[in-house]
Amino acid sequence: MMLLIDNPKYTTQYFSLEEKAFVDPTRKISKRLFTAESFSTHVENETCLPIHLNEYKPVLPAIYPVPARTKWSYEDGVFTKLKKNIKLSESLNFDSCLKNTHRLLKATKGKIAVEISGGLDSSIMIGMLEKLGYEPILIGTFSDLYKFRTEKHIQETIASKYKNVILSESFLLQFTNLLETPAHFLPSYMSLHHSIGANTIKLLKEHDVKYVLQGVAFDSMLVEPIQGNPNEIRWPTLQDDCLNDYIFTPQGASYIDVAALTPIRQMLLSLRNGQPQDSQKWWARKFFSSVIPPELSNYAYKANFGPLWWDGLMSSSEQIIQVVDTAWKITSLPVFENFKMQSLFDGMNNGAGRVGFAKLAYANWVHALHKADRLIE
Amino acid sequence: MKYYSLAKEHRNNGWYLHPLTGSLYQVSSEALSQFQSDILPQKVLDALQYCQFPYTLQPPGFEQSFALDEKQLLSLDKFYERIVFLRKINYWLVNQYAGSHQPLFDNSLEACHALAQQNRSAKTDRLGCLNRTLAVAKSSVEFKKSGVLFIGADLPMTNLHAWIIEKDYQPDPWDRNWINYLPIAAYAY
Repeated sequence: MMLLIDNPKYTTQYFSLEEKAFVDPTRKISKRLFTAESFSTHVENETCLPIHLNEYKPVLPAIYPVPARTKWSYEDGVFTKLKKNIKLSESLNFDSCLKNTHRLLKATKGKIAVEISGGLDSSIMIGMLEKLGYEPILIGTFSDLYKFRTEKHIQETIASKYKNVILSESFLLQFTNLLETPAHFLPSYMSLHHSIGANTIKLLKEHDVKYVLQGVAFDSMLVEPIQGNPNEIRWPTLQDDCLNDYIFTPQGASYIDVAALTPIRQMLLSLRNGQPQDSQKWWARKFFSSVIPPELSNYAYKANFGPLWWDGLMSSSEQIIQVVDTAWKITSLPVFENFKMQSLFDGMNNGAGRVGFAKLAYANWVHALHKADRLIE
Repeated sequence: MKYYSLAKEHRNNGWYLHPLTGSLYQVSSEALSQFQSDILPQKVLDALQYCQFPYTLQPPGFEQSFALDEKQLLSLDKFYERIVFLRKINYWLVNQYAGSHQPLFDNSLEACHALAQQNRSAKTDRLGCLNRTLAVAKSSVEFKKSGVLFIGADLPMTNLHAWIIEKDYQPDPWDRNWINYLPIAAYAY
């Protein structure tokens, strides 16, 4: 029998193949479900980053995260995506980009804030809005670390033209306040950074912002090779909406990954169709050169965030140990026994950081559910 | 090439690169000055300014084309292979070898493009930065005049990276990560 799975909402919903229905994401979870198999499927999901339900390995038995505004069918063990598939167009140009951005802008029903990172992606978003005569609130994070000197320069260049600019040290909040992580239905790496989202909401409170735009998906849309295969592009992933679902939406706001929106994705992939991988995003630097600072169209510097994560782990180690210890007491999974912070640092130094963070994300999930009294025997 | 220590303080600790082992060492902030070179030549100071303000450098030169002959490429290949071999034996030794200048190219940009032709660039081999920069330093005429080879650390992580600043450009257009590394050692003729 074929199942139709339609999620018309703006947040992830969770579908149970056993119950053949969406489940209540606030329902209690049995501790017996925290098995070694559940843990290893979670690690697999966090390292492979599935974009399709067929790739997802259920962490809770037969339960799948169905992304916002998507529709699927399920038959003979196979999911088929029925909505939000991309068809490439021809003859698009910069003006059509502006038109599409304008359409998107018209569809909004409240104030917009844009994350200003000082990198290419957020600068494109800000530049396009500026070109359309829209002045968003800019919200960003600054760092005095040596490595972020180029980002800081761009932030200052752009910010000098805007009235409402909020800069904070949000990014120092990596892994912060894990003990306060809101209960979430499935484990997610992004839960480890809930404080960054919460801080953004707090800083924007007086501005009554409805949409916070961010540009993570540009890293796929502007980089991956496009050879007539738009639906194989590995973004958005099924886990991307954790902050939107659990931090922003409960506060009446939306956290929007602009390049993951279907019309924008369709436009960027169409424009880049036929291109090979472009790791330094030179196509975008030239295509959007009229709306970004010349530093970004002429250079391709890229900061990495490893040291910020490192600092965040260091300053949050007490809470991290407490979270993992709670996970050990509740699950008795050997992976949480005798946990040492050093294992996370070693992972970061030898390229296995993501596995360590996946482990921490699982522990954080268990801890958050426990704290919210959402566990049963 | 001479070694200049640019030992730095980061979050109340001192960090320096040992010239014999090429390893990163942590020392107390108070003792840091003992590990810093007293005097730096003007070209190292100039190159450090460029590192501090990367947008003052010339944009990367992807478009440049160089007429490279087979003989140049063969010699460069030999240099590179020897560097890889000697590095396995000793860090100091490989620096001695690379420091014996044997010009093949007018400048480091040309040398970087030649290495890329041999499939040796940051695009395909992220870990080979020291081998590449040593081969470039050994073979570029302009490097001997104005070039500085930096080794930097991504503190507080202990990853290291090597890159070159020559005149007013960073000659490897495929390397965009060098800006993340705090210079802690410099080599220059």
